[in-house]
Amino acid sequence: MKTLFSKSIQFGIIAGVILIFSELINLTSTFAVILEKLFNSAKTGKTASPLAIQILTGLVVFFIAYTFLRKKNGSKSHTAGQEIGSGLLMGITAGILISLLNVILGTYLAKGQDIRNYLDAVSPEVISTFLFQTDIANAVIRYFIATILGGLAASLLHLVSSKTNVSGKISKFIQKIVQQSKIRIFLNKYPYMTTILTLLVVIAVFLLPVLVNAYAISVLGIVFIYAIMGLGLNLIVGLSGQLVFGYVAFYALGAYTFGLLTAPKPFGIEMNFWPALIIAIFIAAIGGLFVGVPIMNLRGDYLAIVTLGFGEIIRILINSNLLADFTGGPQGIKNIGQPTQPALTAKIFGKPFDDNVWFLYLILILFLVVLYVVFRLQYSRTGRSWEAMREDETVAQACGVTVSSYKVLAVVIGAAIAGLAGAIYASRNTYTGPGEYAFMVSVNALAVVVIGGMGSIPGTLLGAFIIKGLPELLRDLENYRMLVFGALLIAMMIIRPEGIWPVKRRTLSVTPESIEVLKKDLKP
Amino acid sequence: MEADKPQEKTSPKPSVRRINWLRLIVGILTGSYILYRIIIQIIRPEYGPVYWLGFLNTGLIVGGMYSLIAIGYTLVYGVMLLINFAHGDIMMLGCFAGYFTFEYLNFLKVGDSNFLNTYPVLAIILAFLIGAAVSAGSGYYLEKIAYRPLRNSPVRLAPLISAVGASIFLETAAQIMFGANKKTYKNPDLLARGSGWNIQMDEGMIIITKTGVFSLIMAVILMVGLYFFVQKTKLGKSIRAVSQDKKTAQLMGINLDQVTSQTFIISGVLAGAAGVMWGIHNGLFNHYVGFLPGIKAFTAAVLGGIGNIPGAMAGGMILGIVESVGPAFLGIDFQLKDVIAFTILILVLILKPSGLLGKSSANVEKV
Repeated sequence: MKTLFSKSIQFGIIAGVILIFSELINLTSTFAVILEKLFNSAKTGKTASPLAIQILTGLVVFFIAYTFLRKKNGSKSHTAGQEIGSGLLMGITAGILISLLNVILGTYLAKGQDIRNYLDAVSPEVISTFLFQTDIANAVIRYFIATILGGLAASLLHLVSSKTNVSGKISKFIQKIVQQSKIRIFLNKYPYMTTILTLLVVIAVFLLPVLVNAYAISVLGIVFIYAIMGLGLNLIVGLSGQLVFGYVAFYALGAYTFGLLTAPKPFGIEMNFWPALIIAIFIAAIGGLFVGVPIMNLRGDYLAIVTLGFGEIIRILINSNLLADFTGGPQGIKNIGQPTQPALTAKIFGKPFDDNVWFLYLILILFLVVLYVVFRLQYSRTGRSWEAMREDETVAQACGVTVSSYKVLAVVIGAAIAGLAGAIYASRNTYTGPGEYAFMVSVNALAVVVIGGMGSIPGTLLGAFIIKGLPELLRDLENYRMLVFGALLIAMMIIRPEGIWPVKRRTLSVTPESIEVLKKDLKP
Repeated sequence: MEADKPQEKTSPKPSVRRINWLRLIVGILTGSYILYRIIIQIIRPEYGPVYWLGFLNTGLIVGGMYSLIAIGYTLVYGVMLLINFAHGDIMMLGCFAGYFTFEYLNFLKVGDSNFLNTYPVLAIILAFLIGAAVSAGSGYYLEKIAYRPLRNSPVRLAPLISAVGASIFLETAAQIMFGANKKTYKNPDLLARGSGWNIQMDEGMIIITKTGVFSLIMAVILMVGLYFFVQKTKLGKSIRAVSQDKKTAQLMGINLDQVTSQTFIISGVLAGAAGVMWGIHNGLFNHYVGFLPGIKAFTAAVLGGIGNIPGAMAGGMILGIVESVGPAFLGIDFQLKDVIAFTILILVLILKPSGLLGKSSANVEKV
């Protein structure tokens, strides 16, 4: 009893802190605006309506309270009164905290002091939005209503669902559907259908560039470039189990090599697209060798930091005066060459593609090539050695896998693929500069791999769409993107470390039938 | 603080011979290049002794801060075998906390003047206490939220990825909340930046700033305090026990969860103090302040031998000095001083992966 209430106050404080945090970074009202736009397309402007903020506030409390109640009830059940009391307590605690913040902010607003010097996101307009354009007392009452309703709703829902066991039934129902889904049975029955489906998807993807508009083409281009990068990083992180933080280093190496070879300045080589691409890949691979060899006998954490350091070295070097004659320093390299369309396409399709459409096709083709290479590698002897190494280096070594050289091999191939992605990126933008190779690129690539599922090839593509495609759709949330990535990386590791589309593990198991078969075989 | 368990020592790997060649070649090349630069500096000195002393001064001050942060890495690594990637951001939070304390005390009126300049010593102590408390608290909750659920994770990389996530989260949150523009620490007049003692020498003078002296003394006091804390107190003993052997330590009645939490609190206190020092000494800072010191402090921890507390202290000092002396010594641009730190990291990992004071290389070569 006592522990229940003290625990509810604790969770109420958690909810309150989350509310305060999201108010201070102005997340609540931004999110409220997005929600309103979703339900009401006529909605314009950037000010959230009071109702939406109240609903969001209530929802936060609701989720926290419901999680708490569900977790607690596993050990022993409480009476209905206790549950409702606990929900009420959580609502009140959260309400006190969020009201306190709004009272403080409201006082500053009333005094006419601008606190944006200290809290950047909290402008006077934001404060008045959070005060619902009314006075402080009114706003406090509304916040209390929202939080208490949220807490009560959680306890009521939990009461109902625990008495009738609705949630258990629903989850069982979903499991049943997933297990008995017709598609899976169908696919198991006719294995060649998988191939046909894959082909259909590929054809659909190849039709895309012609069908969508210019904006979508540019988004798709960046998504597929990240997918290529993700495939390379997936090889290192997912397959061989080494962690690379400074993946951007290889990307930058590829981009700059390509840029220097094809741009009119500073060298004036102006090489053709394909040889320059191959040289860029080669240089990136050498970079991988340079990083891989020192750490080949060390544990994976060191690789993470060494590559991070290497990434910073590359970034500082391309930005420095020392190499400014080669790399253009902060100005970067302009007028990087683009591939020319072969005359054949114009002959087949009647007229040549637009430049951006053609480039998207090029990216798609290169993506497929990389996909094929990675796929073949994964199911080759090399791939199996990597997987063995990932599971246990000592055992892998005992089984005859030369761990150190396979480690270097993984980094080198991953680096080469990153170099390819970088070269395409530079060519697509016809420009490359040091500003594009910040640490955040490495983080994005890592997020692509981790969210999609480490070691899973389709997962990487999915991850690229989520990381690079979704933010384009949710432009309003642009500022919060990295925040969400950070939280997502932690949450994924705790809740679902295998990723959204996990790799299917091949298992060998001994079933009764196989024992029978074995017995038959062993009979003299 | 090595986790060397005899049964885990590996037999010589087939590639050991090749690695030795690599080590030899890299060692000879590095050594001869340094020798060449020494000879050059003796024959044709570009900088007089005054400059060298000036560089040494800068290096010692920065080195003290690196040491404090590096200790945090080493402690956490010893207990959890995890590189706490968000450690630099914990330092950043301490830096912000100190900034807000000074700003608040600056507004607080006491008589004619404000609190900050009426009671400067008290204000500085308050800033350090609050900075350390904020960092310790965030370290404590960081461990609880992001690392503890992953202690027995089947995915080996999970804690490290989670640490990266935490780092990004903290950095972005600070950026959105406090703004991306650089802020200036408001020091009390007692510790005004730039003021100090000028020491006249033949060719010029060295300026020894008050903030620098203060930071160095503070760092040394904290380090000595920590050393005795770890050596003498019960908690220190349990931290050392856990980092030697987790299972045996648990059998001896040490609460692993508790020790881990307390380790994070201690490393947070040191990082917070380093953050406040950074702000007082350098003045300008923003949400990005913890990133580079964090990585460099990790380099320092590796340099001294990760898991080894005196090693981290020595590593930080050495790294600070090398970094500030290096560009002049090697005759390169001062822009490239960050490159020196990372090159040292790579060189250490090639030449002596166990670090300067690390005893055995078993713990770094093992998974």
